[in-house]
Amino acid sequence: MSNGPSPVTFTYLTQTIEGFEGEPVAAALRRAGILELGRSGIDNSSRGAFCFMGSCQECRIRINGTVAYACKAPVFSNMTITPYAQS
Amino acid sequence: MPSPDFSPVTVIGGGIAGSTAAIALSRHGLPVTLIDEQSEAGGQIFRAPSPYARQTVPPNHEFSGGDTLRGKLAASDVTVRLGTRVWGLSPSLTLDLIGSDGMSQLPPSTVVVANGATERFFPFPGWTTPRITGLAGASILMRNGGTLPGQTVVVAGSGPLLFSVAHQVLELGGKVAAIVDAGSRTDWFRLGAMLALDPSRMAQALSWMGQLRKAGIPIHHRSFLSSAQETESGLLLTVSEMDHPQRRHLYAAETAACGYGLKPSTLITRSAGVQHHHDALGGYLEPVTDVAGRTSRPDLYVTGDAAGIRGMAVARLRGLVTAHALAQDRGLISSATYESLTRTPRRQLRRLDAVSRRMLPLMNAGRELAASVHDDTIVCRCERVTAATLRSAIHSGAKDLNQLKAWTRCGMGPCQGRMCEDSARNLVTGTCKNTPEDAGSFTARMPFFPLPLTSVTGTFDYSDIPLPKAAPL
Repeated sequence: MSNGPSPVTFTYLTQTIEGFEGEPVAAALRRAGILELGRSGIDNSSRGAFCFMGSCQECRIRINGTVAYACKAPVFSNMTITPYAQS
Repeated sequence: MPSPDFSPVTVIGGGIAGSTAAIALSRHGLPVTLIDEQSEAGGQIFRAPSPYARQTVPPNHEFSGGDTLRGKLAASDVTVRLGTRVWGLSPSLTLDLIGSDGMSQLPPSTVVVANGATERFFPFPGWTTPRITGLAGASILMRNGGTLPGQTVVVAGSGPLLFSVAHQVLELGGKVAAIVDAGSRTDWFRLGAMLALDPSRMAQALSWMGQLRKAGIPIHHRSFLSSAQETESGLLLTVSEMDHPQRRHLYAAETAACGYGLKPSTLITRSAGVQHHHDALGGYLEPVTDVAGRTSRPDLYVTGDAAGIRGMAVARLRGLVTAHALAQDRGLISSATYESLTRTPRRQLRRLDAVSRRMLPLMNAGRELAASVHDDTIVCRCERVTAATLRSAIHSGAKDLNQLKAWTRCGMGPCQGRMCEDSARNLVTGTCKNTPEDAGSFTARMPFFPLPLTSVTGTFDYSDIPLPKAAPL
C-alpha cells in the first residue's frame, strides 16, 4: 500500500519498539505492552498516560533528552525515549 | 449601525466550534488567526487520525467530518497556527503562545474562546495505575491512535461516552468485560424519549445499543468502580451498586477506562475575568453567555462546548451564530442580516439544546459518589493527596478550594488541579455543606501548563549576559 503508515523502530530505555511514523508515542508503546512511562516523584508508584489530551501531565517522557508528552508526540525513526524522572 | 471595524480576531481552539467560527468570521472579511495545540485542526471529536489509525479504524463519520472541516479551513483565509498553545494572557488579552517555533505573543484582539471541554474524574482506590485511563482518553487512543487500551476493557463512569467507547473497543477487535454506568436506566429512558428531536443521535444510540447487546456485554446502571487491584496480567475490578453498597461484582480486565462526563474548559475565560456561574444540572462552572456566546467582556466571546456542554451538532451551530454576532457587533452586517443569517441555526439550536440539557444529569450521574470516596483514596494524582487529608483540612476550616490547596498541596502539581478539582469541590460540599459556588475553583495561574525552562530563558552562555559595571563604593 503506497499511502500506508511507514513502519519504523525506536528505543525505549534498552528495548527496541516497532511503531509507525507519525503515530502518538503512547500508542506504539502501549501495543508493545509498555504502560508505565515513569514514576511518581512523591511515592514512586507507576504513572502512565491517563487523559491523552495534554492535561494530566502523567505521560511526560524524554525524547532524545527533551521533555515531551507521550500522548501527543509523534513517533519517528530511531528516536530514543526515556522516562521523565520527577524530582 | 456602527462604522465597520476590521481589527483582528483570534479564535482559540480548532475543534468544530472554533473552526466553523473562524471560517465564518473570515468570510465576513475579518483577519482571523486560529490557534490550536494539536498538529491538525479538528478538536477532540474530529481529531485527525494518525497514519496507523487511518488503516486500522474502520471509516466513520468523525474521520470524514474532520477531513471536510480541515479541507474548508485550508481553503479559507484563516491564518492557522497549529501545534500552538496559549499559556497565558494579559488583562488586555495579549496572548502568550508556545509552539514548535518557540514563544511568541499575539497583541490584544477580540478573542473567541472555543477550547471545548475537559473530562471530569472521580477517584477510587487504585485509579492511579497506568492500566486505568480516562474515558475520553481511551477514545482518543483508539480513534486517533488506532490502538486498543487493552485486549479486555472495563468501561466505567457516566454519560453517552461510555457507549461510544465500548463500541470503539469492539470495532478494534477488543473485548468489553463490562459497562459500569453511574446513571440510572430511567434517566436513559427519559433521554431516549427526547432523542426523537435529534434523529441522528437517536440512530447512533440505537446502533451502539444493538451492537453491545449482541456482544452480550453486562451493563450495570447506578453502579461505579469501587476499587482496582493490580494482578499478574491486569486488573481485578470491583463494581459496587449505588443503592445497595453490599452488592458487588468482580471483573478481570487488562485495563479500565473511566470518566464522569465533560465540563467546559474555563482556564482561559476565568483568567480573562469574565463572569461565570455554576450550572447545577451539569454540575460545573461555565462562563455566562448569551445565545451568540457574548460574555461580560465585549472583546471576548465563548463558543462551542466551552460555553456549556452540548455536543458536536450544537458546537457547529454555536460557532456559526457567534461568528455572525461578532460581525454584527463590529458593524459589518446589520441586525436584520444577522437575524436572517442565523434564523435556521438558532431554531436548530433551540431544539438540540433541549436534548443536550437532558443529557447533562446523565453525564453528572457520579456527583453522589464523591462524598463517599474512601479515606485512603488518592484524590490529587500529582501530589498524592488522599481523601482523608482533604477531609481533615475541611474539618479544620478549609472550606474553599484555594484554602484546601494551600493546606494540603491538592491541585498544586503539574496538572495544576485539572484532574482533582471536581473531586476536591465535591468533598468540600459533601463535608461542610458549602455550595459549589462557595467552594469555588482553583485560581487560574499562568503558565497554564508546565513550560520547559529553556523556552522562557532561551539558550545563552553566561559570558553573553551583560553585567553592569559595579557602582563605585
